[in-house]
Amino acid sequence: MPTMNIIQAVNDALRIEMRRDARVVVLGEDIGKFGGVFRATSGLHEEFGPDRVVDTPLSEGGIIGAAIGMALYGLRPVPEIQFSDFIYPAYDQIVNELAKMRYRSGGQYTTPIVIRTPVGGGIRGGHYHSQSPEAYFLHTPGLKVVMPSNPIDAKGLLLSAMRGEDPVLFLEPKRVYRASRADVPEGDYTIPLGEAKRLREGAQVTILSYGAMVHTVTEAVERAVAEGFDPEVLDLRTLLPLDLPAIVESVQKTGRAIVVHEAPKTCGFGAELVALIQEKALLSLQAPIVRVTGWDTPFPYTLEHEYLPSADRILQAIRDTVSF
Amino acid sequence: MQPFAVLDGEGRLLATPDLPALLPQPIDAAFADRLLRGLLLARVFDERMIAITHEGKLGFYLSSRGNEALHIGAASVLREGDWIFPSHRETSVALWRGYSIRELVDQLFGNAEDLTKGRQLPVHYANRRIHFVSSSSIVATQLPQATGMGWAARLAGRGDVAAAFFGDGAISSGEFHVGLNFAGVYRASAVFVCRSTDPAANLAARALSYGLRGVRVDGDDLLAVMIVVADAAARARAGEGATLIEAIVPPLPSPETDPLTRASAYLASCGATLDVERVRLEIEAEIAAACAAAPTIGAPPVETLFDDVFAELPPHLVEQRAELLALPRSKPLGSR
Repeated sequence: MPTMNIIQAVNDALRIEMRRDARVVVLGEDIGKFGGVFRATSGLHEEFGPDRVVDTPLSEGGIIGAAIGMALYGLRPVPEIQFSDFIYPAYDQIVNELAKMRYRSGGQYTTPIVIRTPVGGGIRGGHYHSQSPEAYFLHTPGLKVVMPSNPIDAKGLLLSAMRGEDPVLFLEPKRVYRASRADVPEGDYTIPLGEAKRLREGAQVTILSYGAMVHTVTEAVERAVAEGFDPEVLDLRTLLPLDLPAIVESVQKTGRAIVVHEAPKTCGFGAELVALIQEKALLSLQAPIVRVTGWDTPFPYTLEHEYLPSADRILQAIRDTVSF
Repeated sequence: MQPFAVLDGEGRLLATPDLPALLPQPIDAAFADRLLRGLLLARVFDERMIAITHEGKLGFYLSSRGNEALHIGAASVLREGDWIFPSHRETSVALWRGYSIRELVDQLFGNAEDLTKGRQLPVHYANRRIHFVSSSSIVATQLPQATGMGWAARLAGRGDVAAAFFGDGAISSGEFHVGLNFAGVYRASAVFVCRSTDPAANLAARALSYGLRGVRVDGDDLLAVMIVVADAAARARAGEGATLIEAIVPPLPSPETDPLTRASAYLASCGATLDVERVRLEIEAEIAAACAAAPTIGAPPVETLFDDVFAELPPHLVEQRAELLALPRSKPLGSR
């Protein structure tokens, strides 16, 4: 099995699917000849040519609007938004058009598009290269939202997303694009959307996370275990549709829950998770559910390390929750 | 650049254009009858829908009175395989392509037989059978989509064309810029038809900045519209890229500028023998029957509220649907 990082896993998934299905086209800024600013599309232009691997003008609205037209006609576009911070010019096309095309046409028209975009901070990127905008899309019925934390999940989930019939926001945790490495199965495999993964079995507290934060959680949990704690860790992987049964089963067992995400606190996905857990498992809870999140500020440049949830903050949340 | 016209105000030819070279099919007597019927259907349908809206039987309708020559002219030279990216005034394009009166009225009433399942406001039609693409209420978002389809169509090589329709308000939108810019970059097989009410604006000139052809046409001149749209579509089919057509129409419809008068006269000279009064009565009867039936069909079943959000219902929608179905049914807002 080859060892890959997330970039290589994404590249592999794209290559496999473009070979398998001639309808798949990739488009975005600098993704063709340059291979993408993170090299996720490296080599695709050479193999598949400029009609299937397309360098676009600098216009996110155009990228997504054109992708919608292509998808209506029968192609399967996989557009890239270079940084998720730049996605907002396409927000109207995504929310008002892409998400609603099937519903508003009574099921006559569908737009199976997978929008790939890097999210998250920790790369000294400041306000506009560090955002985690998943909440803006989770709140829009008609979109699926996926955020893998590692190469194995990235490849399998991306292949699933590309084969589905629904629009998907595929959010890639850029901080760990290269740092997260794993033995990734060679060739074609899929991981279904809508399934969380338990990374550590435990009995004392359930920790829910996704994306790059999973790695920070892992670091915190190692220290927690050394202190005698017994956390259970779930990597959500797909944010919508959510694997709620896995979450509920875990919290019913542990009685305590912590949600960790980089995105700002207010109305972040953590708020939704807290609401769902208390709806389904209130009487199992021994303590309030804690959210460890980015602060409700724009993402700072110099003080980035104080903004991002740290292993220290997560560990403190474990201590506080367990001792409540 | 003066708007291109071939008919004078009375529907007489100003010159003798080489029509066989300019149109995909000659306007023989049969086609002339078909065009006349299409214009009449467009006019009568619009009149009746406005009337029943004023009577309070329909909540909302957007008129396209005065645009019949433009829309029927354009639709009549497009092919079955072409795709229409409408705004909200192209009911007559839909009718021409085979969206039936009954199907349209069902959409206007949002009933259980509506092809779009009562999901949207009136005039937000969608019909895959005739490649009439679903539109939102957002102005100009269809333009980059038309470009994407036209681009894909050029690559597919089947000769299909995207025909996008919009008004001059859309020109100010960012989506106009984005859509036409991409259309120029990718030589999309597209025709952009803009209804313009201000001849001084010279909107067609903007096409040059995108690397597109820009053409001005008298939007009330049925034959001129047919020639210009046919030409633009042929160039697009040949892979030569997109055209922005600025179709000048009067700001408000009036008897003095009625495009039907002009077109009828010309089509009569082509041999049209349609009994306009008889056909008008037939159309009115068909519309009346559809309007009588549509409100009796009833709303789509409440369980369909959750269909088509995704291909399959995810667990949270299964749960929400069960929750709604367990409740007593609500009355429409404002009803007693």
